[in-house]
Amino acid sequence: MATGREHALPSPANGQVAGTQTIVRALAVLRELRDADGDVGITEIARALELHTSTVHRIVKALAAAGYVAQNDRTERYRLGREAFLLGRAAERTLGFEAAKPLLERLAEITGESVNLVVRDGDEGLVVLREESQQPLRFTQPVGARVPLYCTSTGKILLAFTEDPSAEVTRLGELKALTATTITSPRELLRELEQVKRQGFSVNKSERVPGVCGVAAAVLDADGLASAAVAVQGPEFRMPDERIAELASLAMATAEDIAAAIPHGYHL
Amino acid sequence: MSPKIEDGRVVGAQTVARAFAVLRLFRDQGGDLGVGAVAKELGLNLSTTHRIVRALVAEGFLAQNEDNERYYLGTGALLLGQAAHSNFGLDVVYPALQALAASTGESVNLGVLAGEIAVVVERIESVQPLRFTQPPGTRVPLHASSMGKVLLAFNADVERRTLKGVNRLDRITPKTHATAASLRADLAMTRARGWSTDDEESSLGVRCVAAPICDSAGVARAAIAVQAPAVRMPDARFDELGPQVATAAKEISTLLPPGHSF
Repeated sequence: MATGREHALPSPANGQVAGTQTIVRALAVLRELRDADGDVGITEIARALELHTSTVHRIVKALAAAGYVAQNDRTERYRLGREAFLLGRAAERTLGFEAAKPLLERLAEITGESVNLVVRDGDEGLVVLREESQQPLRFTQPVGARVPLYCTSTGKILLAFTEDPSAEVTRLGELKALTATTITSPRELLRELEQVKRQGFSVNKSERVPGVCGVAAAVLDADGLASAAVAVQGPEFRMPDERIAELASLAMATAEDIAAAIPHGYHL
Repeated sequence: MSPKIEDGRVVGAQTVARAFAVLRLFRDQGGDLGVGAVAKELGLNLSTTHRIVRALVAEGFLAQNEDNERYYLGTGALLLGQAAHSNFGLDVVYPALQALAASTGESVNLGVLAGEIAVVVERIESVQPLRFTQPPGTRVPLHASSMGKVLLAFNADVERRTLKGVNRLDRITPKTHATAASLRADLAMTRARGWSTDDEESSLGVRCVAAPICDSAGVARAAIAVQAPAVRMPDARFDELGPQVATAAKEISTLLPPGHSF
């Protein structure tokens, strides 16, 4: 499992008060369960978080009592429980995602392609909502997937609509070539971001995954900065140049509607 | 190597419980809350509340509204919920709920047992203009709902816990079972036919039909219900929907991973 996880847990030196450390650990346990594929045992969690099994046992007990984790009766391993699910549903409502969902569904229906809503998480984009194309050949990317910023249509939006795109590009450091068309020169990327900002949408032409195209638009906050990006994604042959303008204007209209659904002052 | 330090056992568990109480408040509130309001609501002191909120913000479970400096549920909470959704097997279950909603034209609920009550976890709403709305997170009493009644009828432990030594039941509408004896008779019938009804027992004007989702031992852990305005649910429709809901519930039971019981 993951190495270097220990810095996910603040050391006691910067854990301000004894009590907070337990919260941080409990949330770290939840994160382990969130990122795991199936049910997880106490020992695995303890190993991943570098905690004593007895400590993890105690935390998991408290989480189970609160309904945040549930135990598999057969294997005695753990997974997320109903309260975790309900908390997410509540967040969906308050963040305006519940309102955004039908808008994404509509965009997917009109375009016939997969649609994504992506927010920034550190130096990556994070897929938070997803509507899949009904076509047999479609681009699939689960909710929770993390995508690089410099070679995706959503990432370019999240870089372009910031206070200082140039500083953003510098921060990214080396731009690794993932395909033959990936932009690897920071200067060229910055030029592209300027264009994205001017035209209001971004395009990814097989820059991350060969054969996959994306067209994205910005969900803007009150300051004109991107709080999220909406993308239409599909196989390159279904997204020829002459279709880009149409897809872009559809994505932009949806992004605008989503912006209206997110409460003022919220940051996604 | 990270140093191991001894947790204050009691202090720790209490803090975790408090952190979840804070999250729960945000969950039920549905809007922005200031630290002062949280402290007051939960009877905690301000500095403790501040500390808990800060820890939750650090992990993305809460975020601060730049406009008013109050807090709201953040994307960390959202992602946890989405992971729970697939963890739970709900992404497999969802199409079955959709099919039931489509074929009946009515709202469909999936509820799970949570101690003494049932909680709605997933919901597909009828598209008809007159429909019954019950968002996920809604808590329903066991004795006065169709979901609750299958959880009682097909889970002996729950029935014992809920009804042992009880005579009178909370009356929610004039049609709620008023006594344990009358509820028991209803549960016996529910067991015999495999599905339950709610005849305006929790909301006037709303009738429901539910069936149990059972684990491999045949014990009910969850339930699905079709809910409709009474005007669209005459007695004859109970008999028509009952077997249909029971079939869908059986299908869902088989879709859930072994050992999973919500």
